[in-house]
Amino acid sequence: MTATSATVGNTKPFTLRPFVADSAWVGTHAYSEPAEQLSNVDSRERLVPLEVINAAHNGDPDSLARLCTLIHPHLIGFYRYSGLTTHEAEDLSGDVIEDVVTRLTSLRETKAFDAWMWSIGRNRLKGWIRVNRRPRRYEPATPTVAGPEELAIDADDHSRIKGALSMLSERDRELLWLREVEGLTYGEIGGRFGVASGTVRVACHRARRRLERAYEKEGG
Amino acid sequence: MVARLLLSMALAGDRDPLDDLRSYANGLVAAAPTLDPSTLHLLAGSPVPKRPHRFTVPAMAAIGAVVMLLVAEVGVTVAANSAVPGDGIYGIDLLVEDALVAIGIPIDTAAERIDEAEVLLARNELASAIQTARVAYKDMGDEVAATTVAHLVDAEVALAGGVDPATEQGIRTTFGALLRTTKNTGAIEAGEARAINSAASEVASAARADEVPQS
Repeated sequence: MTATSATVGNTKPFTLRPFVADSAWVGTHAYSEPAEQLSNVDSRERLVPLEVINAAHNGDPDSLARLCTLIHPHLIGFYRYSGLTTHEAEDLSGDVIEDVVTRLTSLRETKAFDAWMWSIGRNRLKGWIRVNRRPRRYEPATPTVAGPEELAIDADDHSRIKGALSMLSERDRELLWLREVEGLTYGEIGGRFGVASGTVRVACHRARRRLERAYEKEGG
Repeated sequence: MVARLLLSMALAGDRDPLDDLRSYANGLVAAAPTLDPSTLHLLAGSPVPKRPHRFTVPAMAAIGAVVMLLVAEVGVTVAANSAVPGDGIYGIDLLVEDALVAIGIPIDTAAERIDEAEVLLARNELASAIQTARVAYKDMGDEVAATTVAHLVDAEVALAGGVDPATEQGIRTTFGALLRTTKNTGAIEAGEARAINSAASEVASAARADEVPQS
């Protein structure tokens, strides 16, 4: 009888789970996922077309400029969503774009660009929070749209989700952005957090549940 | 599961929070200012900068440190070569000489000491100059060591006991002549013990000038 199948009393038999060292494929500047983790990345809509990433990766300045213009609004949106002011979001986005431009050649797998870029964006946000160290209340930003009529509608529409988001933890908000807004796979997010994709799946599920409950409270 | 979802949607007023979340997020993205690529200086006609390999910076730092150490070592060695007894780095000069002798490079240590004695004499450090020269003559051979060293010891003893300025000047003059004789006449190379001994005796004579004649 082996240790893995031993049954003591009425306890359930303990089964060893294979250890997957997700952190092994997490890097700060040369992040790329193994091929098997990227297999389901192709099916989702990309932030930047792969051919643009490849051309920029090969040093084409025009493609690099296009890549920057494509990721810039998403970074601004993410930082505004995270509670930063417009100026802070623009400053941080500029830093991330500079990092992306200078480190792009170190990206081994261009398919992993989205997760890699968001890992830089997240690290920049963490660093900004660490430096500023101000325990302030989370205040979701209000999108400023073109017309006053739309603005009024949007403000009304978003007040509920903003209220719900303010009840969530920073980690939950981040997971919801990456999974539900940017559409990253569990494997990609796991690579960023350094945890198994199954753990991310559960964490995302719980974040959605908490959002639903908070949303209900805001609606009630 | 479906019932729970429907219930939550009903409670939420038929609105899916995730749809609302996406709408809100897309609004934030849409409201973001457009980036002007011309403001990116990194893209202004320049190639994409290559990130250095992770070993490049440490390797460059290590090479730089080694080069700095070598430059510092050579600089100290060169500086120490012109040092004289009493200088802080004179010990390094002696160490370098010992090291060169140890690896088989011949060093004329006697000539080095004579040069140092000249420098000390020019600095008016007469006692140190005589002491340094005595070390050189001691290395030259028995004939010189036996006589010249004895004369220089006499001069050192006289100086240590105190002499009048005229006597000190006499010692300085004769000692300078001894050094010139040693260097300029090629006495070291030729082993001219007689010339050296003769000049050294003049030093001893000068040192005895103020001695009270014993009757």
